[in-house]
Amino acid sequence: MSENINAVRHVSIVGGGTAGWMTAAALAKILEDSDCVITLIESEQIGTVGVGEATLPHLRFFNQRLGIDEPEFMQRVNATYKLGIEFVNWGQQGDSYIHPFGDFGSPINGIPFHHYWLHAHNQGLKNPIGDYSLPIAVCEKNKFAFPAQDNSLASTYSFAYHIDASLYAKFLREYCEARGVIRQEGKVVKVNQDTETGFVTSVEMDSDVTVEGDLFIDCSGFRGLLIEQTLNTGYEHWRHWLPCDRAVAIPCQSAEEPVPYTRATADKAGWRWRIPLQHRVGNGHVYCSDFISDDEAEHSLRQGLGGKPEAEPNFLRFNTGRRKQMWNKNVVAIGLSGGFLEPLESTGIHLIQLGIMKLIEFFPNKEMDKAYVSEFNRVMQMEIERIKDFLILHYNATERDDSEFWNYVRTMSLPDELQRKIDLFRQTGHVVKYQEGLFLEPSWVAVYFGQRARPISVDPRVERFDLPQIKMQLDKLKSQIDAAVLSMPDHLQAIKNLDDPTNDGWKHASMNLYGSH
Amino acid sequence: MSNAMNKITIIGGDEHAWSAAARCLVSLRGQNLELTMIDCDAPTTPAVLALDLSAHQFHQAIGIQETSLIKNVGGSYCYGTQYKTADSVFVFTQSPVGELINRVHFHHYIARLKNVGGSVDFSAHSIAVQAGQQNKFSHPQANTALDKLDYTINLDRLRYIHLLRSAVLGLEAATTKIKHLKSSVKSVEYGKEGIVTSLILNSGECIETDFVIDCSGRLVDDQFESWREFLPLDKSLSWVQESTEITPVLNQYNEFDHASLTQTSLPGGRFYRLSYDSEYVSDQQALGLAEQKVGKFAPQFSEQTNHRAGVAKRIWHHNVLNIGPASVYAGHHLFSGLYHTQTAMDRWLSLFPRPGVNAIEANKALAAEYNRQFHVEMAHVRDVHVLIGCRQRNNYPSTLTHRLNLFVGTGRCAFYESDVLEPHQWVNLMLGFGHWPNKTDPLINHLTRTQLENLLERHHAETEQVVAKMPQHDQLLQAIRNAS
Repeated sequence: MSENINAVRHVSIVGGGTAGWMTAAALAKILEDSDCVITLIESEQIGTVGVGEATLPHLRFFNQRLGIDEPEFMQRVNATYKLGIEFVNWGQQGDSYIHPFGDFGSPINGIPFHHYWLHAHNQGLKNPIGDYSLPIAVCEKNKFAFPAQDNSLASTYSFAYHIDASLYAKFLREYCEARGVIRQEGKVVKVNQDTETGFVTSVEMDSDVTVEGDLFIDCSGFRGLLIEQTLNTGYEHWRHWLPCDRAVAIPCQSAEEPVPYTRATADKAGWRWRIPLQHRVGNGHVYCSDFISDDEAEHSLRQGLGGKPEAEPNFLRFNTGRRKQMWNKNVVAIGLSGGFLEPLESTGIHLIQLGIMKLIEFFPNKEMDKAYVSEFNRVMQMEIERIKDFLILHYNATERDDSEFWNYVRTMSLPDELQRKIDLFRQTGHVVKYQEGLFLEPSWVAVYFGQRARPISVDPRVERFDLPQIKMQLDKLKSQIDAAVLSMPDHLQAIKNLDDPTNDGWKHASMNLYGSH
Repeated sequence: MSNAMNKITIIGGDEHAWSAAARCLVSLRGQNLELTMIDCDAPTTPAVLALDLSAHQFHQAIGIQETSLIKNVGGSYCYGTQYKTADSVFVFTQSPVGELINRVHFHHYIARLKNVGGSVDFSAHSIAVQAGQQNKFSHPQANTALDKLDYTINLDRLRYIHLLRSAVLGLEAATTKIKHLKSSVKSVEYGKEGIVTSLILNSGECIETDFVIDCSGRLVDDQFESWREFLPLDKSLSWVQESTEITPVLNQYNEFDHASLTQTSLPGGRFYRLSYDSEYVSDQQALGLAEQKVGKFAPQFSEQTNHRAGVAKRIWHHNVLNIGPASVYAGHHLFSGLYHTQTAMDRWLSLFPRPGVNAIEANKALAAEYNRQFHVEMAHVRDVHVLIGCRQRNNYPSTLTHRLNLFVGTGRCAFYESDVLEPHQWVNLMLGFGHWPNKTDPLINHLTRTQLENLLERHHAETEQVVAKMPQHDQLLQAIRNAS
């Protein structure tokens, strides 16, 4: 029996889709022993964006928290495994590199591996740094195995999934409804607020149903039905740094076995994604409307499809940026209503997950204490801004000068924090690390080197080694990587192996992120 | 051919200088290092140093075992500090208090009981505090109730410096040359863009150098960020007294008007430091206060020192790195000066510069990054000390205000990059100084007062059982000293 008369008794989620159902599932799980009612409002008539099909390793923790088994999840959402993202044509046309969920080598004498590689490279080593990353080698051979829990080479990576986001939402809907979440079908036609506090008290639906709530989660997408249209929270635009403002998506049939990585191919005024699922391939083109028309974007996307289209093109418009407060009064914006970053590094679902986790951590009482609100907003702002900087790096660290778009992003002024990081790297090879955060040192190393950003100097302590000395170590590491890859099953076979109930390797997979210990 | 900087000069003869030297020797093995120690200002005044567990790895690398710190340096173990102020008495311990219960941090249960009218004693649930109050000590033991215990080692400063110096001078190898000069710096010669090229010593010797680590304060930057508005105690009187009593496992901190008194202990002796605000307390009054508080004031040694709380704006400038009290001072509470030296050296080694005029731009970028990281960390150090030593005031730094508001409002500990305390340590401090959460984790709001009392009573009984089996501190110290 609860004694707290101020406890939140009713959470109302406005909007379904991935954000809405992930939020509902997490709250249903965490509040299952309480008397809190969770209602989710969605309309079959309002489509979901549903392009965020590539994920990050963090989603494994989310599923684990919900108690979802790997084989069931993989089967229900037609998932494939993901070990990184291949970036094509970014540094220069014809270039290609993989940003892996894992390490490049390991530090020697406290000095990061990339300094040794760079020193050898400057002396004539031909191998790219990707040759010294196990997950990259696994991607290139189209294989997959779960990372080990020990400290061996086999533990130096993590994995995520390519999923059908609409199937994931459907799967989570079943999960939620089995745990008492109430789904209300219909559109919201009116939002009621407390005249004194401005808190949202209820929403009225076109079905004449009124849904009340102590806490409202706005998962209504770009429009921000509650956070913006009702509370006028404000939005910080980042288009001057991330100028792409539109996307077109067309799924197609699979013409080949799915690879364990996403592909992001730079185009004339943006980039195209390719996400292999078990049953189809998700494709899309993110572009800047200042430099290319919708027709051109669609044409370019169609040219690159590897199989027969499975649907009509779905055009989207977006404003890159963040809501000035993702939590305002008793409304928390999760998903696109809280902010949008293009899916270049598959951060969409991650930001949803992060918002949910922080909401649970700071789960409020009815008063919505300012301390909760300000900490939630502070942490979410820090996270999304760090991701923003990392995305900008992809555009700015380039030698491409073959279009107006690339000339703009290559020469634009950068956020101060990012400029400082890039300057330090170019001068010294040193990667500024966050203590905690989404993209750790290997991610920055992958993009810097993959996009031709070369430091003027390396750590001077590695210069005492000559090429044969370093090469001997590098060759040894490469041999170990090659041997490890050889013993792994093919990616598709690894997915099929999940059908065998005696195969429980997934239960013993390391839960590290990005392979960094 | 290596372009690594190999002529490194360290100025100073105290624990900071020798610790910096030891770290250079360990981390720069095989780099043809030529290390010059300008051994000036070697301290002659006794003091007690506290080393935390982060020093263990570095000690092992230079061949110093923990037992030799106890045996040869007159060391003793410490679980924390007992704080006595006008309105609080509590023990701060580095070790966690309680554990997660059903995914909710322990302090929420305590705070919840308090909020529903129950009587609470946070310390009663801490193995470290209970053991400390009974002068017991045990090392952490994996997979037992003791596995999360954390501790520091109190050391005789002069003997520790001697041990470090011997270890450093014994590390000279084929690839490392160590020049140990008992002298001081008379003048400095600068090259292009303010780079220090050589140091002229009082002995007349000229030392060419690629990089200078200055622990003497001679080359410290004159731009200084003062923290006096938050940390006003600017003088201290320290003294040592003999003691035949048992060696406490807890340090003591007593707060008075415009002054505080700390006591740390070693076998056979007590080290006291009375810090005071010279605007309100004269030196003579400080002496009187010392006599009044300690009872029998019979020092073997006493010394008065001036301090200025704050941080140098440029810790790394050109090819000079400043380390030691001249570069940062926040008080003598949780972090010994050596803690700052350790983190300063680790950071410098991770941003290792290169010598020569061609590297000026690169080194400027490294120094800028170093100084940025340093100031982020020092802001947290400042906040810790402000929370301890400046509680009567309302003008807290905004980061500390946010941290306290969040904790009081929610029971949660704010996350900050490069924080210097673990969240459970912040919780311990904030609760100890009376910042109790008025709300707790909603997941436990259904628990009644009786349920909470039963749960905490059981936990307290388990804590007592664990502590009952721990050995007495002095017995353990004696056993280590007697071991061959």
